[in-house]
Amino acid sequence: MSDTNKQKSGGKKSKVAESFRKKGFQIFGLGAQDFIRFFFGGNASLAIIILILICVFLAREGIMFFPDHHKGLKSYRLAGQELVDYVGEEIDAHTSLYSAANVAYYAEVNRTSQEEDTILRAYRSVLANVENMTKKTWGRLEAWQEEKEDLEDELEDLLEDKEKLTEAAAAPAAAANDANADQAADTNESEDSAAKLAEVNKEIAAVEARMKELDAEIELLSEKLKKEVNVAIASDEAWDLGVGADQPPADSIDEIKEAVLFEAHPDADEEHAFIVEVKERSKEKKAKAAEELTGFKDTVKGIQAAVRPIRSYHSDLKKIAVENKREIEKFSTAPERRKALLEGAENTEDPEDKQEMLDRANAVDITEPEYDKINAPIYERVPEHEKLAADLKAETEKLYAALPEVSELETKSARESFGRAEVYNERFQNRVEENTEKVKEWRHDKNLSIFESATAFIFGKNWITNSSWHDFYGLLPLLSGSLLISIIALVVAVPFAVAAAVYVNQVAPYGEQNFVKPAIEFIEAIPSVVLGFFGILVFGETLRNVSQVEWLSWVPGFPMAERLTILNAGLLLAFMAIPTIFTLAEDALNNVPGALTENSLAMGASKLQTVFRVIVPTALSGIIAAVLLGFGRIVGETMVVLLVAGNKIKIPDFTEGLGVVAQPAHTMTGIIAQELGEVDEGSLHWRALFIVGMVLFCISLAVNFTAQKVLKKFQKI
Amino acid sequence: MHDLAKDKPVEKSLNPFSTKDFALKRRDGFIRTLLRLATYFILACAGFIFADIIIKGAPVVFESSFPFVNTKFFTESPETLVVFDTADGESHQLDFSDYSQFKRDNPDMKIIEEHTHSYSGGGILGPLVGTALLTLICIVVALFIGLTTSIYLNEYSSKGRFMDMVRLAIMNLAGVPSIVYGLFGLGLFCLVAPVIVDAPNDRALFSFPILPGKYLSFEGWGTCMMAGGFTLAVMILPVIIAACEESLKAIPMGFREASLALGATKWQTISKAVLPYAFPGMLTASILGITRVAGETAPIMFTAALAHKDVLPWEGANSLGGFFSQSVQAMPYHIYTVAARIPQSEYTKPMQYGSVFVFMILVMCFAALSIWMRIHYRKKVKW
Amino acid sequence: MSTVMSEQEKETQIPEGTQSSSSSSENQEASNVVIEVDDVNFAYVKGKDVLRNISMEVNRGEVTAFIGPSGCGKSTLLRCFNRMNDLIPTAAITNGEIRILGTDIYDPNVDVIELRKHVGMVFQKYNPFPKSIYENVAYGLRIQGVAKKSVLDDTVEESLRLAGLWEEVKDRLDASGLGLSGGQQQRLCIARTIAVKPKIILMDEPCSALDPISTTTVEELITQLKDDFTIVIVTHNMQQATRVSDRTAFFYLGNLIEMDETTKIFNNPSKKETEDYISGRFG
Repeated sequence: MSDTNKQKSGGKKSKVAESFRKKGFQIFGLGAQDFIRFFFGGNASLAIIILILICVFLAREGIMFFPDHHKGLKSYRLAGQELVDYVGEEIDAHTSLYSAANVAYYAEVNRTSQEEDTILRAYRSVLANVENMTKKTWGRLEAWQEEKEDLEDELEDLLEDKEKLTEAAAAPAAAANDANADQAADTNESEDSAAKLAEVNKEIAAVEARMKELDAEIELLSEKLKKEVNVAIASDEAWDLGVGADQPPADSIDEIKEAVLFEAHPDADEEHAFIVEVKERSKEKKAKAAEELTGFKDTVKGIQAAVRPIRSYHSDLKKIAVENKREIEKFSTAPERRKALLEGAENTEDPEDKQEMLDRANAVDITEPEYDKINAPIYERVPEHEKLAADLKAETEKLYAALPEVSELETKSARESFGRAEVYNERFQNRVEENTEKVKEWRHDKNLSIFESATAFIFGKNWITNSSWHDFYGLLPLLSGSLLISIIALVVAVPFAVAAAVYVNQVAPYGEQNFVKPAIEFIEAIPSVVLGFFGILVFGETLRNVSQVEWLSWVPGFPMAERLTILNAGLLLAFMAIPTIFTLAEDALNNVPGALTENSLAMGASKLQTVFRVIVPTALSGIIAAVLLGFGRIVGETMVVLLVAGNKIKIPDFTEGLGVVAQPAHTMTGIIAQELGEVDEGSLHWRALFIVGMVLFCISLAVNFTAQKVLKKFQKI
Repeated sequence: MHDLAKDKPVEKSLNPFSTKDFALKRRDGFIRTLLRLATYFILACAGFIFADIIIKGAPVVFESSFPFVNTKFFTESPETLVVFDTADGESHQLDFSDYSQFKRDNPDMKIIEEHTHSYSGGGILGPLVGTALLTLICIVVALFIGLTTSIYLNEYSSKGRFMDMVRLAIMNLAGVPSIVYGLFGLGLFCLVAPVIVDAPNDRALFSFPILPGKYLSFEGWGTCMMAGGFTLAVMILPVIIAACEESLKAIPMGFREASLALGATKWQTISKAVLPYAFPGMLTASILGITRVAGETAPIMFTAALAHKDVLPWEGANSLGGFFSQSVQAMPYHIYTVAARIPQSEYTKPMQYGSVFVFMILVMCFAALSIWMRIHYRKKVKW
Repeated sequence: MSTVMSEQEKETQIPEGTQSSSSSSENQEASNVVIEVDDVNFAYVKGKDVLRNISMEVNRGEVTAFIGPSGCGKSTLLRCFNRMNDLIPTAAITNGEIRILGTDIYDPNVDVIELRKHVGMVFQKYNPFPKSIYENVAYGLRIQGVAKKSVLDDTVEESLRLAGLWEEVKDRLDASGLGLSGGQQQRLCIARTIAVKPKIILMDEPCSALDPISTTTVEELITQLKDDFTIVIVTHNMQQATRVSDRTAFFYLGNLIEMDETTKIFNNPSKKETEDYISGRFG
């Protein structure tokens, strides 16, 4: 039944017996069947063309990123910004060290006044709660008071008017006594003002009446408010101090209550005596503690001060670099500006305008700036750096050594900060050493290879856009976020999904199987945006509350300060991946020949021995493929991470060990969804997002391809 | 006889088959419990999510009095909600249009404590209609291309390396992230796809005249429901092709051979002896496709969806082409908007939970239908 | 062609040897009964008995063959002996009892796992686990918690020797069991079964998936094994029954028609159905 046969038979009609001949409609020897075939074939090729187009269009929008990015990086170097950022990095490293030490210092100082601070915090939250609970009455009261103030102003104005009018009324009367000239007119005037006066008087009376009304209303409301405050403060809601907050000492509760009652009053201006006293006490204790820790304080201040010279050096250089950048930008946009002006001139009717535009077009400076010249001021100051950096390093080293020992610290948070400070110190020292070399060797005209700019994208540690300084497009923060979240999701999802697959396929009785399997498959249909919604509104809060339970504080990253974190996203994605992995793993287990089970059982193996020694190992590659496909699904998931991961573009700080999961992060999918809608079509940023999409595309293809290979190997068994 | 044997229990010492490895039994029992716990933990999580959404969402959608359904929620589009107190001590929650009306009606009323909450008022008619339209376009396009492709691949194409590669490619594309399809749809349908216009845009990739005064210009369809529907269609195309091929493959070769042997043409064979039996499988695949498509947000974010739109699609268009080239609101995008892009307050909660509740029930209905169909036909059809 | 001929010649020679050895063990026959089947009815689905009132005895150190047309219940009865039918939820013995080594194996005190350690089984389709040859044989010991390398090594070698496979695979014990030829795979399965030293080995048409040459080897193996094990074999092939078995039971439509010494069944059956079957009039 092949094509050629058919055509042959069509061509040699005479030799084919009538009864075997092709019947019906034919064109060029092609029958209806062939057209049906072409129709289907055409659609199939359409599908394939579409699939090829995906690659083409991702590439079309994205591929120009590399030359553009290269150009951007080149101008970054030519303008000397690169050098400035080397110095900036040193300062940043120093700042991390300083702030860690500073946090430790304040933790130590505040330790003495903990009780007072707790009371003050509790007082503030109770006050806020009470005010919130009585918000409505407050709002009305305030509205009345405002109105009353307005009325008071009005009354003042009216009284003024009245005075004037009275005077005016008095004046003509006096004048009339002196001379009777123009009496008629004057009488008219005086009559007029008398009428006005009467009107004003009436108005004043109305305002006063209204004010009286208001006063009554305000009094009533004040009473009501007082009552409401009393009710509010008695309720538990008012004493909800927020999750994880310390409770104030029991003996201070009555006083806090009194202070709140005092303060939650419309006329209250000053703070309650108790609060003032507590504040005073807290201040005193802090001062005392600070006195004891003067050495510590001075060291910390010293660290802060040490960086000043290099900071001013940095800002000087920055000014030069910004100027350079402007020059370079002017040059790179010059041809376009010129073209626009020329086009404008062409379209203008008015000869004067036309001439002006032409002149302006010709005036556009299209000469390339002399990079040597514009960078000269930078080179001039480069030699200073070595000394500044060395001084900073030596000073910091000295001061770091002068910091108290960890064992001398009394609070946990201070000790933790010191742990961080140690890491930061080491980093700082290395950074200074490295960058001193870099600064020394820096040349603005050093060649930048396209390979280097590609590396700067793939291994770049910053994704900074819309910046006035320089836009960085580094994949690493996004990639690390995506991978970290996916790994967490996988670590959680795989045991559950595989356990459920084993349970459903091998252990569960028939009836249970028929219920559990569709139920888990059902989860797969939950739209990701719904899960994200759940994560942002319910799960994030729940997770944070759980993390603040005391006996869970050993878990890395607990207690969590944030609601939207890597962990939150990871757990939700795990939930999403479970049905995918479950279905495929269950399939793999199902495909293990039943004879193997029989054989194993016949040898006296228990059911579970059979499962774990024969069935699971046999299905292993199928299960691995399932896990890989699950991974593919997680990495490419957009809405959950966009909503829940916290969207902070920063490489997760791994110094916290496993606690890293409590940080927010951003992902490759999330950044596309978040930023693509807001960038100009065809800009570098736009292209960067398409490249991120291409990276995703490649990752998912690689994962899928591997999974298919593994699966094929499994099917051979 | 058997019962008698039971009456005289076998003495343990004599029974060579009595249980010996008690540790094994205990271990087995323990592992069994562990597996069961893991399984039910998953279901418990799912149950918790459903319960949360149903408990908080159902009160928004249903009412205790006739007609028992919050009709406003289904007959209006999202609006800004204005919450304010009036001087007489009453609080009001009104949609922006009602609020303007209220102010016109009561010009003297003093309004205190006024807050606005965007997208928190009105209903979800616009997003519902938008999602329905997007899904419809998508499923029509995807089924047409997907079905024909799978028929070609399974019935017409010759087996060989090339076809294997095509299949592998299709399989791989099924796992490509949806956001990548969004990018692709933006690049192709919104920016390059051909349209017939009177004068081609400067931005067009290229254009050529086809009729006097008419040009075929490759300038893209812009952000519109056509672009969104087509993007979604491309996204589920691999899934549909794979599922349809699967159901075609399940038809025994004997059916085709028997039909051909009776003198039927190829097409007659396919249409009479193959497709009718593959139909349930294909239907299941398409319902599964609807489930996936209706729930997707990422592909329509840049190709079709709009957070706010005053008019329904049929109110804003004067021609068929115009109808399809409008952007629309869509449920998932609406949920994304109310969940993450507006400031949160207690007044936005009803809109959030109401939308999620309705959306989830809709998607879940389709999912349940596809799962039920799969089980049903698997049980019923055996050859 | 000539090699095949010689193989066939061999095949014809073997039964004679087998028969002679079986006749030598005849004398001890009555003394020790290993399996007693007492008026057993069995149903896969309640109310539809597929075995009716079966009573028989299987003797120690003998090869007992079950023959009969397809669907006559011979495999079902075999699978009752190690309770493989438990895997089917609704299947159950509805009447009578089966005693192995004097114990009712359907008694609640019987642990199926222990039972199966005593009653091994070889299946129709050879099914080595997708593990190495070594691990396949060691599997039974490993699930019993034996982890000592020397014990495992010894048992693996001994079992493979007994199964006549040692010489063929001793250099590639780590190779996958799936890489062997069909006959070798089946012998591997037999080695795997005898490694746990069961008292009884049940064989469910062990040669039906094998080519004639492999069949011969497996049959040889069976006759050798009967010194150490009691063997019950289900077979379709009447010649095979005559070649390997000492006693033969003929089943028809769920009934045990006749059970006697193999030579008697085949030469002088007492029932009409038996005669019809062995003379090839049906089945």
